[in-house]
Amino acid sequence: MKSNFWKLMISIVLVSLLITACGGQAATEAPAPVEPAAPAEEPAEEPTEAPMEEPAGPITIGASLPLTGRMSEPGTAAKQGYEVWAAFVNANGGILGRQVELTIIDNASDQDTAVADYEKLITVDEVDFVVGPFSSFLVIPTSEVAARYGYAFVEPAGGAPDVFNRGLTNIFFAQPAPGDEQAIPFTDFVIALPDDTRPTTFAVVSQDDPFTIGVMDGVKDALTAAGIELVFDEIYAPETTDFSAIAIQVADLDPDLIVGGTQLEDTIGQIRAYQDAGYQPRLAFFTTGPSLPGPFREGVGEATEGVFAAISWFPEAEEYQNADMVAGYLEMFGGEMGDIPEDVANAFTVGQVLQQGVEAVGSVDNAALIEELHQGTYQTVVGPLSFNELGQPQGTFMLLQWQGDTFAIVGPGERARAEPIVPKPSW
Amino acid sequence: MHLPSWNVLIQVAVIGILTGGVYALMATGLTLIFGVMRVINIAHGAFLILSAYISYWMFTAYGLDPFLSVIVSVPLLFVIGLIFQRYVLSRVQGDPGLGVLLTFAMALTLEGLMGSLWESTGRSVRTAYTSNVFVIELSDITLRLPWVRVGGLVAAVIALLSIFLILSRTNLGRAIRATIQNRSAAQLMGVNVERVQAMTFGISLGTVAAGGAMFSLIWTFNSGSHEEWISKMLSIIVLGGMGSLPGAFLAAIIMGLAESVAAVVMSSYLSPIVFYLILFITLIFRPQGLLGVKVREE
Amino acid sequence: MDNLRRWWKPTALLILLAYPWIFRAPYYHVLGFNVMLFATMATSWNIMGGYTGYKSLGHSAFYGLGAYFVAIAANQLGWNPLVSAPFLALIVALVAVILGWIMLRTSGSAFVISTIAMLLIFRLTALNLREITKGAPGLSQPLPPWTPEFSRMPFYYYMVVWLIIALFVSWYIRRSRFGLGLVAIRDDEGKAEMVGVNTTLYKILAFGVSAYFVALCGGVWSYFTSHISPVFAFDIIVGVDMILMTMLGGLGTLWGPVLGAFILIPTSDLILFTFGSSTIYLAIIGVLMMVVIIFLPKGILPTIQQWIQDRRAPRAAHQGALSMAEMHGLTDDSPSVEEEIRHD
Repeated sequence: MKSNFWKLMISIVLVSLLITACGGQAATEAPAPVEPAAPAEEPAEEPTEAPMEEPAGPITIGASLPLTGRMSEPGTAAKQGYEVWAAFVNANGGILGRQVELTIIDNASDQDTAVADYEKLITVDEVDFVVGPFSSFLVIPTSEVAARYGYAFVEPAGGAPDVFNRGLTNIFFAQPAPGDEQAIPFTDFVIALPDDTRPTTFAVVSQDDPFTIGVMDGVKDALTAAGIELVFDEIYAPETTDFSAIAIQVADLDPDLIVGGTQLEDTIGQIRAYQDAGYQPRLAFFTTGPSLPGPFREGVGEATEGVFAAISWFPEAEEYQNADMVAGYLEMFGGEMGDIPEDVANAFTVGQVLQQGVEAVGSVDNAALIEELHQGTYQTVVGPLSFNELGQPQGTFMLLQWQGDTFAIVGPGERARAEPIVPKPSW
Repeated sequence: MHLPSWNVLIQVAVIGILTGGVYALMATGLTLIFGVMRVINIAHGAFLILSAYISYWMFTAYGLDPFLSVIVSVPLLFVIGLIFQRYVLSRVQGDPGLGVLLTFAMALTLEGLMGSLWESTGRSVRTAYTSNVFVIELSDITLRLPWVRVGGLVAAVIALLSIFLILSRTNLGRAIRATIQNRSAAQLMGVNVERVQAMTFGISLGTVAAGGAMFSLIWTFNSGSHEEWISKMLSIIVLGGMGSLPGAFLAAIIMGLAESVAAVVMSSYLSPIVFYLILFITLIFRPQGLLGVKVREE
Repeated sequence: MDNLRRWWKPTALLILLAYPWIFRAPYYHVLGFNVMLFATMATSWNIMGGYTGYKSLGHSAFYGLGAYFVAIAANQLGWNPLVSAPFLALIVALVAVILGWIMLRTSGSAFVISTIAMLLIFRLTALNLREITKGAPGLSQPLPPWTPEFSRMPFYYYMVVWLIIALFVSWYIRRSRFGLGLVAIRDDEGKAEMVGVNTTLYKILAFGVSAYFVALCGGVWSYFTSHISPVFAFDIIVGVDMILMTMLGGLGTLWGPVLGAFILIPTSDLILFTFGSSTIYLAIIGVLMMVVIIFLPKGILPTIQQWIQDRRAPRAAHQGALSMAEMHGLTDDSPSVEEEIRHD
């Protein structure tokens, strides 16, 4: 009996292989994956003039965010941004006359979970649109999922080079500039310094994250081209908490400028380690951390003084709907205006771009939306945004420096509201 | 690979030794458990993090300095250890393979619970003296010794001396040593082995509590950190000789030093590999470690 | 009863094949894929952990290696993963044989720890070889060429096929001399050596075979998920899941690992879904594992088998029934010391 059984098994194995092969064949006749095969549920004939012949339900928007895990702080801020936006839009007539309904899932800063979340949102929940998670690290794999199903992917925080170099056309990064250009205002500032304060040496200490590496590469290129010598360049694992070995080496070399490719926790970790090692740079820049006013101050106390970072937004900015966003945030979440994290604004921007894009298209149609987003210019809380064919935004960041209890915008050009302090006071 | 300057090497070596002291504190309990129960307590790292969280919590909620809150955390963890051994671990007494898996499961459980309670934000205890440093100038080399790390080493020495005293001067200690040497013989001599095991686990977690307090001052941690730390501690006790306390201390210092130096000679990204390689090589080629007695693996 | 024995396998297979057409939402296809994937890996692990008694906690090292080899081959050489995986898995199996030759000089807990060390070394290496693996951010692969409607089905069927193959290999080993030798090693390695079993060779071979399917699964997974990173490819939890499933279903049995996978995957999915966050999930898995280890150390199948025997045969014939069951490979019972004494 047993050998008959196995003969049966083997024949079924062969048959299954045949099925798989045929299924693959038939399906391969369809063209490349990036073709926007729009999901079949939404009828494409929304009237473009005054809304609602049929009682259309809400427009559903799905997102997976790191609400726990190593990116939980900015992830939660992004969630708040999406929520503030949804509330604001719904209070003002919705999109195309329809209310917006958000579904946000926690991916625990885990790529696999994020990918599964978007699969579920698209194929099981069948949301109309998806918006992106926080960080290039999560955007990279999840954008593939959206591409697979032909969904537009407007995202608040994925600007690393690897986000844009994979041949996907559905990604739109809703910040003023892509990651590797984020530090341009800073490098310009450094290069333009007078000889007595201009650094001659610098060090780069970055976590192994696509976004931070992207920013660091941009900084390295600009500064070395201007003749400033790179004396130390180290990458560490994202979860590193002990920077003593690195700090000791940096302190020994004593570069004028320290540039950190960091998220919040390692910014704090690095600064503390430098303090322990007795390293006092004349200039310091970190990619994230200084832009999160509350936690950064709490983490390093008065060592914040004089630290630089790039930022896309600040609460008093006079940009489109910014006042509404700030008011909405304070009403929903309380606190002080000065404590609102930048990521809230980035998520809100995503919503704005989405809304304006969908309204320009006039219907719930991802394919048309993708095409529209490559062409239009959109008014947002971080300024006017437009995207090139890769989905990269075409603007610039602002440069901030901590002065006193909070930070001030010190560049570029006319956007400055305070004078930068050089050199940095001891931390 | 590059050779850093003398300054850096010496500074890094000193930090490495200080760190090794704290490692010793953490690893001692682990080797003790193995010696008495022949079980590899994979949950040791998770208990360490738990202690760190307790210290953190007592500091943020009550302002209690970790050096002081050990008065609470050590007995607390002692009791937890006793209960865990008596009612959970003892059930898989005969089978070391199952023991490893069980303690691993415990580690997962702890990680899950801690993560739910305290979320994943990195925590650490920042006191007024956290950034303070002893500065020592020797000829043309400046040594900077963070207070918290020196404190950690001092605490480690005190704790280890206490363990040593317990083991050598008390009846319980004698019973423990007898059980380590030869379990069945000890039983025949009238030692209540179950009780000894429970007490040992309790003492072991007690040292972990002290270790956790120091840990919370020096490093940042979250619920997932235990994996990294148990790997380090396993490497240490294997190198030292599983079951040997002086071995654990020696190995801890060596590892602390090796890790620190590797971070500047190779890169800090790659430096943990020192632990894993030493672990791997020791297990295969000299399983009794530096000071351990050759044990017949069952 | 006889009809059940005869027809349950073909029926089960039919259900498996029809499953994606009954449950059409891609979510179910993903679930099915995961079950097939882990059933295959657990079956594979069982060859080393169950039959031979060497429980490797770091087996996901091979999963990660398979994943990276396939991903790199797909990117650099354009090899279709579904075709390349079975071949690249051979290379990983070779690596396992070499490592096994080193590691299997130890036994018991030392072996377990060395497998963990092995896993961590691979992970750290993958993180640091950034030119090849792209480090922590991870490595992407081209998407599969078939249209979204089929999206996960091909993966599912592919794994059904490989599960059958793995089960076949496992079954074949059991009834072969090789398998007998493995069980002898598990029961008493010293004795096995004395009786003439080439324990070193057998252990290394078993290790290599058990690594093969796990590596293949890793390769398929990398294609499935399109994006892999060292922390997740070399994740210890994958290895733990393999062990948990096998132990749950029945360590050393043929179908135990499969049963374990069928139970554990949907359950853990349900848990994740209900509680949302990953930390509660970990706690529950941990507790589940402890419960299984303490109360069901033999796993479900052997416990059921025991129970059936105890009802059929009175206590006096217990020993006889036990030997029968062992012959059929349905338990992995070695009589405990107490039982030995009692029967004297």
